[in-house]
Formats: sequence, C-alpha cells, structure tokens
Amino acid sequence: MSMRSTARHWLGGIRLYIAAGIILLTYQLWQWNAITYKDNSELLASHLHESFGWVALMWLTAALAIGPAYRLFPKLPGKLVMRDARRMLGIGAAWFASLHAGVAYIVSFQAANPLSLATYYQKGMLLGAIALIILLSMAFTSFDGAMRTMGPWWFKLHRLIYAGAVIAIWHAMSIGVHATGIPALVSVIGTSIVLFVLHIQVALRQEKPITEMQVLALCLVGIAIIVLSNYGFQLHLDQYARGAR
Amino acid sequence: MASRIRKQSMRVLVTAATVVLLTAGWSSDTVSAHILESDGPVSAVMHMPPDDNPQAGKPIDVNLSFSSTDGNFTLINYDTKLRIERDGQLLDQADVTRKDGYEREASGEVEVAEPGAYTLVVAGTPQSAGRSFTLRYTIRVSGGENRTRPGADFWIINATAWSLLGVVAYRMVSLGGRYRGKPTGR
Repeated sequence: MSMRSTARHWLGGIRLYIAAGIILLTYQLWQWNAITYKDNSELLASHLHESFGWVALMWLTAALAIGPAYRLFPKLPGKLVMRDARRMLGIGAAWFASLHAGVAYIVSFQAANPLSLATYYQKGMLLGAIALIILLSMAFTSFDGAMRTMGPWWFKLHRLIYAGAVIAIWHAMSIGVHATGIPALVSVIGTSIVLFVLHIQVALRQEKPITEMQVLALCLVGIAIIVLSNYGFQLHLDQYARGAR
Repeated sequence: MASRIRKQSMRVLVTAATVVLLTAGWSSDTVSAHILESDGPVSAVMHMPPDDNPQAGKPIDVNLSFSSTDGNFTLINYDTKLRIERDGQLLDQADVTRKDGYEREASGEVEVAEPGAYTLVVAGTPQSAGRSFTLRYTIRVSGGENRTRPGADFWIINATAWSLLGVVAYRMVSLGGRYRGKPTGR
C-alpha cells in the first residue's frame, strides 16, 4: 500500500479515532484527579490508579459486549464500524490496565520486591499480572498480520479474554478495598450476568449446533460468576462486620 | 410472539447493562487512598475512613490492616501505639486497638489542631520475644474540604474535545466508505 492509501485507510477507519479517544481519556482522568487532589500527591496517585483500573474493566466490557449484541440485534446501526472497533477497545483496556498496574506498583507499593510482600498482596498482584499478560498478549497480536500468521491460534489466544475478565474481577475483589462496596459489587456482578446471558443467547441462536467446548466454556464462566459473587459479598459482609464492631 | 418477547427482554438487559456500566463509572469516583508501609516482615495498609480526608480539630480515625511475610504475625503478641508527629514533635498518641475477632485488623484515633503535613507512626513492641516494628505514613490534614471539584472550564473544554473528535470521526468514517456493505476484520 502506498503512503497515501495507507493514510486514507486509517483516516477512513474507526480505530484511529478510538486511539485518539484513549489518549484524550487518559489525559482527562489525569487532569480530573490532578485538579481534585492538587494538594495531596498520595491521594492523587491512589485515585488515579483506581480510576485507570475501573476504566480498563469498562473498556473490556465494551469489547466483550459488541459481538453478542450485534448477533442478537442485527438491525442495530453501525455493525461493521463497531466490529472493527473491538480490537482497539481491547487495546484501550490493555493500555488502561498497564497504567493502573504501573501507578499502583510504583506509588502504592513503592516498587517493593513482590517476593518480600505478604501473601495477601502477592496473591492480588499475581492475579493482576496474569490478567494484564492476557490483555497485553491480545493487544500485541491485534493486527491483521498477526491474525494471518497465527491462523487458528489467534482465535484461541483471543478467547482468553473471558479468562482475563474473570481474573481481573477476582484481582479487583481480592486487593481493591473499594471493589467490595455495594455500588462496585452490583455494577460488576450485574454487568457480568448481563454479558453471560448475552453469550448464552448467542450460543442458543447460532445456526450450527452448540459444541461441547462452548457448553463447557459457558458453564465455567457461569460458575466463575457465582463463585466471584459469593466471594465479593463475603468480603463485603466481612468488612461491614468489622466496621460495625 | 415468543421471539418478540425474547427480543424485548434482551433490550431490557442491554439497557440494564448500560446503566450498570455508567454506575460503575460513577462509583470509581468514590474510591480512596491506601498506602502500604513495611518494616521487615511486617506490613500494614492504612485507611482513614470514610474518604482519607482527615480534618484539623476533628478525631482522625486510622484503620490498619496488618500482614507479614512469614504469615505468623498477630497483633495479640504486640503492644501497638499510634502517634502523630510534625517535624519530629509528638502531637498526639493513642493505643492501637485490635478489632474483636480479628488478629490483624486494628484502629486508633488521634487529633491535631492545625492543617498541614504530618507523620503517622505505628509502633509495635513484642510482648515477649520478637522484633519490634515501626511504620510511618505521611498524611495531609486539611482545614476543610481538601478536594477541589473541576470547574465549568474543565467540562466545557473536555466536552468540546469529545464533540470535535466525534464529529471528525463520523465525517471521516462516512467519507472513507470503508464500511459500506463490506465485511471487516474480526
């Protein structure tokens, strides 16, 4: 492709503008927190990394919702645009997750050696690191060349997004003190259930018969949602009990 | 009929998902600071409820969640004190009280009269054998609300930036014609 046609290709596609949106949102989150906590650098850093973490989860949710939403509602406008947007949304999730991890590790954990930390933090960090590796591996293979080179392995790798989402929620609940508050729990569990139902509906409506692997994957994700919900509410009750004493 | 009901119920679910997502975005604004400090094998994360915004002239509630690398740490074995200092001068101190039924969760309450930067010191002395620990946290005590909400200019500039991006994206994508009846990559 010539320079001109490459420029035309990118300018006429949605991904470039989503990339611009990622940069704009990053700057706005920083600016919002810098104004709000201008007199307190510790609070600024802490709120910033938590904001990045939540935004990463939201972008991941958007990337997960587009496919089943358009299969169930084929008349929704912008189908081709949104399907093309998915990869950049995934890259956005990986970007915000990386910022979250970087700021949290450097500021909250003061770049401590993970091996020297208590098991509680090691577990939380390990879960976060696994989710981040999954997101980054998908982000780095989210271009057409990688898709052609990897063949069927590309699809296998990118299906890890479901495992990544489950592990990211587990990470948030295990180490994020405010992820077990009622607004966060209701939001995360509610969204997970809606996404799960969407995927079940898609599987039931597909033309070819549902495969054993699909049934297994859906069962595993369903069980993971039940277990994580129970875990989150247990932690919430535990914190409530502590506060009440 | 059944398929229409199914479609309607799915629309309700999608709307609910949107509301839930927006709620998640809103709730991210209510989180607060938790800084880990360590001394040898002992670590603790400090939190000042409800929003890590201590005020001068009011009691500062300090919650501590302890942990240790060897896994044997329990507050029962320590006499733990909480101090608040400025430039090395002790201003107030209190006992760190273990929460009932918890071996590693504790709280204490101190107070200062003036706003400014202070050092919270958590010092534990073993009741029998063992190693003592000292954890130091820098906190800022405000005279009032220490958060400044972004003004109208913040919202105007950012709304303009997003609108511009949206208009340019819509215009360029429409002109590009890349998505007209053509399948795209996965």
